[in-house]
Amino acid sequence: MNQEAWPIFEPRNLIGVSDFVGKTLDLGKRVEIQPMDTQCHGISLGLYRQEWDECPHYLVHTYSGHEQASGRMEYIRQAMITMLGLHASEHQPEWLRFHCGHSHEKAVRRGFLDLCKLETGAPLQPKPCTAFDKKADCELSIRYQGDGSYVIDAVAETDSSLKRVQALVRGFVKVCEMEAIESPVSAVRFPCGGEHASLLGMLMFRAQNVRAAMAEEANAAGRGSLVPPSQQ
Amino acid sequence: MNLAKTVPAMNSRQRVLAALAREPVDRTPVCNPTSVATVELMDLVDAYFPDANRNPEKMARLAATGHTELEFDSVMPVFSIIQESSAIGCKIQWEAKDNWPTVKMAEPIWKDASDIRIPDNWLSHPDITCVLDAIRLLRKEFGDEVAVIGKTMGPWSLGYHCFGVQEFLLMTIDDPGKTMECLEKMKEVTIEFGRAQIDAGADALTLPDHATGDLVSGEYYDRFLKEMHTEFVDQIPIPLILHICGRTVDRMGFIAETGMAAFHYDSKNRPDESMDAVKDRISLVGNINNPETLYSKGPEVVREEVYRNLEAGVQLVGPECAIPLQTPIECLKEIPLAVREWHLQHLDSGSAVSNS
Repeated sequence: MNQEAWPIFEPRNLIGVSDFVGKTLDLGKRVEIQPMDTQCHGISLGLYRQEWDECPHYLVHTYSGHEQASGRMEYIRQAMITMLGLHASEHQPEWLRFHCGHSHEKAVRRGFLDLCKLETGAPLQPKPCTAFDKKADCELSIRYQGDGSYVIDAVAETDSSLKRVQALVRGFVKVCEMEAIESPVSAVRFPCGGEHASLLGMLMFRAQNVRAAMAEEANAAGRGSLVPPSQQ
Repeated sequence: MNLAKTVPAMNSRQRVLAALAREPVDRTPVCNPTSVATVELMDLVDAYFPDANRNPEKMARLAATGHTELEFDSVMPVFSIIQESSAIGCKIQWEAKDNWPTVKMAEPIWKDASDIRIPDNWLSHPDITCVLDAIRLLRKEFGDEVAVIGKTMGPWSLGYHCFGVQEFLLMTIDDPGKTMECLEKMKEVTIEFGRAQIDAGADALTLPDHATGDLVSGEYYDRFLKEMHTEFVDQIPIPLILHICGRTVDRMGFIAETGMAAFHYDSKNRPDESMDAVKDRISLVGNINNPETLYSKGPEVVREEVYRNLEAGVQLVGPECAIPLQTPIECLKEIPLAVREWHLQHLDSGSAVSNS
């Protein structure tokens, strides 16, 4: 806060103002928010992004002073490391980055919101890159091919499973901003050329149900906006 | 933008009141006639919705962040649009921290003008005294240094709440005389709540009356509301800031003739065309887009919109309406930053802004 340019009044502190004047921080761009964490007393959790040395870094932050807030932040931070494949920054370990140096922002945002649904203390381990698909009636799995490319396989080769493989390709393109590869048609690639198995495992369910994921995002974006009575 | 000779440095309250009176200011004030509460600010001060709409201390604490954190020149504690509707008997859905309380308009309390009964003791209802007490607290906390803005809903908006939107609008077509009778009865709520907020210490009042651009024409505004809004200026002796959402250039000329101090205008109206429409008869405030710019586009686009308003000579800059509760703080802080930097860039040609 630039107090010279913006003289701030002398708080009388009738409503506790002195306790919070100028407490908001410059944390960069807030890219996502869980406005009401049902696992931790309804606090909000923000995901912030800053660039250092042309490398995007992420920070989980809350302004809540609740006694469990800092523990919750640390749990979500650890979950992002374990389940999304992020790493602590060397210089500021509370900030996280990918080894590849790319942001993968859309995937990180989706993953962050899903991780906020975990109860604090729930065991953390990377999700497997294999999942049963109801419509395919078999397991679908993802294999790393190098250079950021992954091939999606169905255990059973049926018409419906082939369709579902294609649907999963499209899902990853939308959810993780990956590129669909022309040959083989069942492959996707991260433009960074890096390996991100944890991220794909975490978001495989979302990619399988991409319409529901998009609808959930649209619904969340509309919540909290005041509309005039004429539009209610 | 006309730049005048230097005027002495002003505090936030002086700046807002001068701009509302279209008098010279040391710089353009940043003003929020409607809510700038966010979920993160609620966390910061431990004052969450819905409690912050019902508990005066929490309401005041959350409103104070508009100045202490966002560095706006005003604070505005009446976040929602339902306080008086609750007091006169509407059913309210109070929602949770992350959403707005709303009137259950599907369960209207009146069907006809003859049904209108304003409870005798409605100004003593907790949802009214909460606002009055919060204004008193803010007045004491900020003294004469920051503008405290209250809010009293206009009769058109109360009509939506009490009769239901569809029913009220149909009445305006089927029986304009009865509509006027309803508005005349409901306007007492607007006046009494406004006066009570003046007594509590408000410097100015926002008066939302949702004759919005998408549902009501400019001609309707002239026919049903212009005269009543003119009457409010006499009956509620304090600067009034009329708020109507949507595209409203077609009625800005009428609004400018009411004598209200300012019009809180929507981003669907360009600043330059709006200034042309009001022709220096009323101040303009607002216009920074909420659902896209403040919510998701980032500080650079916020700055562009602030600059467009300043270049057009808009008297007070701020969000167009109550901001989404998930709005990033950095976008809100960008508004005063952009105003300050715009004025620094224009120091060569004078440091004060003439609004006359």
